[in-house]
Amino acid sequence: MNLKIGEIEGIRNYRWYGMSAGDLKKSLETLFTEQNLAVLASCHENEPYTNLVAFAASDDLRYIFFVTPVSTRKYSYLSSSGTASMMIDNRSNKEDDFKDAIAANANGNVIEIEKTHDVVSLYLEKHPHLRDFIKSPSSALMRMEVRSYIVASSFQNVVELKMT
Amino acid sequence: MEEIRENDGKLIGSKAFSLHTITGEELKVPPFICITTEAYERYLESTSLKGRIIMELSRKDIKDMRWEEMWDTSLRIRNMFLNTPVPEELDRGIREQLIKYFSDTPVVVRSSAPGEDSEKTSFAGLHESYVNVRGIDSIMEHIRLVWASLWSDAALLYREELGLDIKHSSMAVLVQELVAGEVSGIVFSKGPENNNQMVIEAVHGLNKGLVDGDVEPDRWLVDREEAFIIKHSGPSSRDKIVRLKESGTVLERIPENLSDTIPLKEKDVMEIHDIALKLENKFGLAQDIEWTKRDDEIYVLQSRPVTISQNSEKLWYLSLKRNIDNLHALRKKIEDKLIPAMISDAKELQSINSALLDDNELSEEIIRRKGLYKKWDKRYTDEFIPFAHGMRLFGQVYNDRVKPSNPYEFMDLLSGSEMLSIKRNEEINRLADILRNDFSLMSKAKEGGVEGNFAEDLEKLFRDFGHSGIFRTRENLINHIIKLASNPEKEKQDQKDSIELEKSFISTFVEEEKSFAEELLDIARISYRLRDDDNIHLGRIEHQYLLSLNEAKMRIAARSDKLDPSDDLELEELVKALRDSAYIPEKKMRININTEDVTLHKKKNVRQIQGQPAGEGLVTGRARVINGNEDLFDIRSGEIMVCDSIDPNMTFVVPLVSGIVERRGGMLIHGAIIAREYGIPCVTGIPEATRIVADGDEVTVDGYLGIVTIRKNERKKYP
Repeated sequence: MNLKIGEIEGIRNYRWYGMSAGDLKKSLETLFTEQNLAVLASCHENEPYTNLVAFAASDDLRYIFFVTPVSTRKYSYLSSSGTASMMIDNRSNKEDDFKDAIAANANGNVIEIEKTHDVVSLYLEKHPHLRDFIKSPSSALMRMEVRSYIVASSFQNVVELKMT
Repeated sequence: MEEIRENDGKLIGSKAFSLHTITGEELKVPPFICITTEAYERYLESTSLKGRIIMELSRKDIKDMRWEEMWDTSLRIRNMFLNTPVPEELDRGIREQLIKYFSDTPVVVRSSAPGEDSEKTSFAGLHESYVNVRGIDSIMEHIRLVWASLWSDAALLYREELGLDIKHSSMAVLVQELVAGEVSGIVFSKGPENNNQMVIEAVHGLNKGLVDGDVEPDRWLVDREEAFIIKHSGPSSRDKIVRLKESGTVLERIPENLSDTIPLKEKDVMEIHDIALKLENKFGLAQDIEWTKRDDEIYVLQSRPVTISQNSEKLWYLSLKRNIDNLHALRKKIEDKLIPAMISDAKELQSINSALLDDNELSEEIIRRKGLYKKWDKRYTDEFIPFAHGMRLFGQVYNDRVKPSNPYEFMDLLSGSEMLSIKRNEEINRLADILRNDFSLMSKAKEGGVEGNFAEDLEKLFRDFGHSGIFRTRENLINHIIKLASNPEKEKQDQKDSIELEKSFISTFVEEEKSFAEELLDIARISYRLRDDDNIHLGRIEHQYLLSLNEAKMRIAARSDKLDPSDDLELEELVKALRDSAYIPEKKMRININTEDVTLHKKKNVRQIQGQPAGEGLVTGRARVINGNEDLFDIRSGEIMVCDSIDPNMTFVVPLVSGIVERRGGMLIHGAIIAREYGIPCVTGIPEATRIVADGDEVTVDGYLGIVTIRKNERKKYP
């Protein structure tokens, strides 16, 4: 994995900027464990479209999984474009957020995958109350293969973590 | 329990706290232990049940739910508890305590919710209690059932009064040694009608019969101050008694010697009077006390503040709960008396042709028909709806015994119960099939010239089912059959293997209880069928009433150019006009629609909405919104039927549609039942369904998750 420094403005906090790729990955793991919901951004006819989704990530952070009913717009948009972006953050809606909040943006390709035992277990370990949802024949298990994470912290510090 | 302090009410709940308070007060209280609210909370947190309950409650705001929907919500939550084992460590901790006290003692497992019986409120019967539970495994299972009853349908109904809320509500459980008294009863330390009097009620056997309303008690009014009996009144008959059986209790015929014996002697009455005053003084409030008498000693089972008066509609709902004996009696009445009387009334009305009556006679006939219709409509509420509880009682017993992952599996044992509406649809389908295979007959039918056997069968069908308030004319019926015949045949769902399900259900009962299980299933099947059939019969009576109204409207419209037979006229106006040939009635005022509302409504499009998953499957199609019965005849094959509420008189169109969306919510309502019979995806409980969807919108019905997705029809007009 390569750590590439993106834009850096008003450096006040070196937590992310000075971090090794391994440490950055660990921090992302913590963020992903703590957070249940992600903002999913899909695209349809040049119009962006966002939703909240309950997600779970693979241990190596290469994949992010979420579930959607197949009757939704996000499912049809993702099925036709095959690409999306997701934001996972820990803001608390207070002023401290400008100092402490972290937002990780994941980009990559999204496909529907089979509901195999391993992935369903991984997902249900984090969201056990969504059992009926994931098991329903009318829902689809989606997988984003993450190309890179762009992580913003301390208001304007941004680093990129390439996954490919 | 020795370490309990004054502010521990939240930990052990009201009932346990009050029992704890009186223990050691020279009163006999059966020994008990309490599983605290902490155990409930640990169970919920460590099993993800909390999240699942939140998901279930987020489906729809409870205040917008109908009673049937609350029952469904409660059933689903109860099933989650049944299928979620207590985590090992917690299970071990509770068992260790139970083994110490109750390893071979029968117990009562009671709810003890914090705040259930506070100074301001007291709600008896909203949560469950189980009498005569034996063995640690069984006690553990019943603890879970008591926990689940925090979310009972009755508790959901009283959620505001209880402050029921997933974040703060909790449940403690009282496990108490069972004292099987020879006589039991209740006492109100202050009578509801006269505060100077005390009311004591007593029955032979266990208290359950009295508390559930199955056994009529003897009653004493006692002067509180002077301690003397003002009046004793016996029941109309002392014919039943609740006794212990191997596990649980049984309601049975009382032995003859007891039926002639007044359950309490004067000295017992006085002793109960003294106990009630003592408890009232202890708590500083009038008390409602349950007691039992064994070997000449009175035991206090529980004591709570006297219940305040309650909302009568909610009480009506609670009264719907019937036990199997009530249901047997009700079934007999409905099958032997009410339905034959309804059929006979409908036939009698049908034999009078309104068109042949003079105006005065017609006005009298309209009033008579309205009276009859109202009478039957009331009986429907008072007797037919409570009988539908048979399905629910069965559903609960089935789930308790079988613990299926699908809480509605029990419905598979009830379907195919030969409902009238299904018989009607089968006959319609048979005639459609004849047309499908006979091109020349089809052509004749389209031209309105059928004859021979087909014409006879059609006439019989119209005679049997046409008078249901919806078909109205033979043309409507034949056109519907032609429409069906123009599309490929849609088969009714193959019945699930109900024989296997039935076997596995019955096998959960011990030999001597098997007949009870069979009886219950039988009642449930009849309740399922009659719930549909009684609507068909009521529809016939309504139809005759509407026919007489139409006849009057046609006559009166002929008097003036300003009137039309389709005008909305008040009944009083119609009758007045029939009695006075010079009178021209006024039309009903139209309601002014707030234009601001309409504009906002146009701007706001509902794109996706959650209801109840009432029929499995996933389908997308064009919507057909049913605003009136006439819209039923516009339905085209494959459309999604969107309606306010389906009654069995409307279900002849179901074989044509590919999905159903209904405003009225519930899993056991007609729409849901018929959708399952035909295997059609169905979502019920969608608020304002007929307003948020328009004809031609593309609608996806997700009958697995209970989601409806709407894509507005961009084309101007949908035919």
